[in-house]
Amino acid sequence: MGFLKTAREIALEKTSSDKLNSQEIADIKQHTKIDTILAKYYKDQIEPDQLWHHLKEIPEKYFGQVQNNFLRSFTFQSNPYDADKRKRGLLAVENLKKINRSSDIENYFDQLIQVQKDFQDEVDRLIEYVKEDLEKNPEKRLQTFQQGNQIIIKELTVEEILEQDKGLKQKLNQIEKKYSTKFNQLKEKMAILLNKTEE
Amino acid sequence: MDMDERIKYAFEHSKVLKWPKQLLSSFGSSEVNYHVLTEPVYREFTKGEAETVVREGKVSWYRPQLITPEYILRIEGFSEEAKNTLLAIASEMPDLANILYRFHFKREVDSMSFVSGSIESVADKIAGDIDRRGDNLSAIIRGEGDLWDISLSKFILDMMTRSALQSQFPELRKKGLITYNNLGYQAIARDAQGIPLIAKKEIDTMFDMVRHGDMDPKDLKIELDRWGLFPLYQDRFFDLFKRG
Repeated sequence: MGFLKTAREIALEKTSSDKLNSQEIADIKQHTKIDTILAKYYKDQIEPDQLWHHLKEIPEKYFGQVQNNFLRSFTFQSNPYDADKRKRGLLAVENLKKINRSSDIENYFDQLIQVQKDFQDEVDRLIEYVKEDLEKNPEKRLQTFQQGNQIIIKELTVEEILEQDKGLKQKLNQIEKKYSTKFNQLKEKMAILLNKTEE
Repeated sequence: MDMDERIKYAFEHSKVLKWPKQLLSSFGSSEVNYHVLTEPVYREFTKGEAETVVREGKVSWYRPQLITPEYILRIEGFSEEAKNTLLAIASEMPDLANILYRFHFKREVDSMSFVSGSIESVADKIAGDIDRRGDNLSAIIRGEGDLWDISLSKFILDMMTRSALQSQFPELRKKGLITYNNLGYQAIARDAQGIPLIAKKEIDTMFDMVRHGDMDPKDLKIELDRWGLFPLYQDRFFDLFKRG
């Protein structure tokens, strides 16, 4: 992933061998402030339109790191609520910058959300296919456990069928790999854009 | 082919040539007569007329039982692997309807005969005979050589699956003992107190049997424990032992 190391990460790496200079100490202080603000934001204690108020004392050079934090914490598995929260956070911070690239950021972020949606649509289509197949072959829905002369028959859930059918499971893994790769590539491009903005 | 591959081959290549007209009973025991037809193992060494080995016997099933995943966990005999799967189901879908089948068959067949003719022609003759007798509980299975018992095992399993699908689940739904849960799966119906209706029904019958001396109270206690209902029924259980 093309995220730059934060000043804080660099500084923390240095603590084991070298002494910190005054700039590095200042960086750590700023990042601690940012972490506190973001923790509140993720806990819904700060609304996106209130972010500017909390970040107004943070120098602009740290905004890229704030945005990187939003982007890093947005994963392929993130739910729509978390995605929206990060998107709004990213744009709110972008609006505080002198050079504003909101439309590019929004465009990238929407593409990321679209990849998630495309993935879910393809999974839904596969599940629909499994359901139709089960309608035609209801015996596939039954699972048996045997122990000697005792047999238990139970109905399988669609999830269990997907889990137990090697072919379907492989197909599901392939779909997930295809979309998560696409997602991560886009995220990397977006990280490059954010780091450029920082310059 | 090693033994595992042979068993797999026999399992996959066995075929039911005639299914019993009747499915397994949902509310009683069942007995099915089987005829497993195989080619004689010596066939490749003979050039004469085709012969078929016919093995006949019976498979008996006790009354199928509708149970919860938790109930199964209290039954002895299932492997750790099966129990782990059931434990996961019990926590996610504690009401999922399961049907327990207990069956019995002797590995020694009742009779074995060598009949002239191919498997198909012998099967036709036996099928005609079954129909003439009006026998609704006989099956003809095409087996694989000396692994005929694998073919029979597959038939037993398929017979239960067919019966569960076409008879037990629909009939138990009709009686209100199974209902569909909010996810669309068949679940055990419960009363206002949360007691499975099927458990209530079976336990009431067992109390009657114990009262009339037709059942050992120990068996009733085992059943109450398997349903996890002993605390609810304990007063009634101990009343059975009061004199006068």
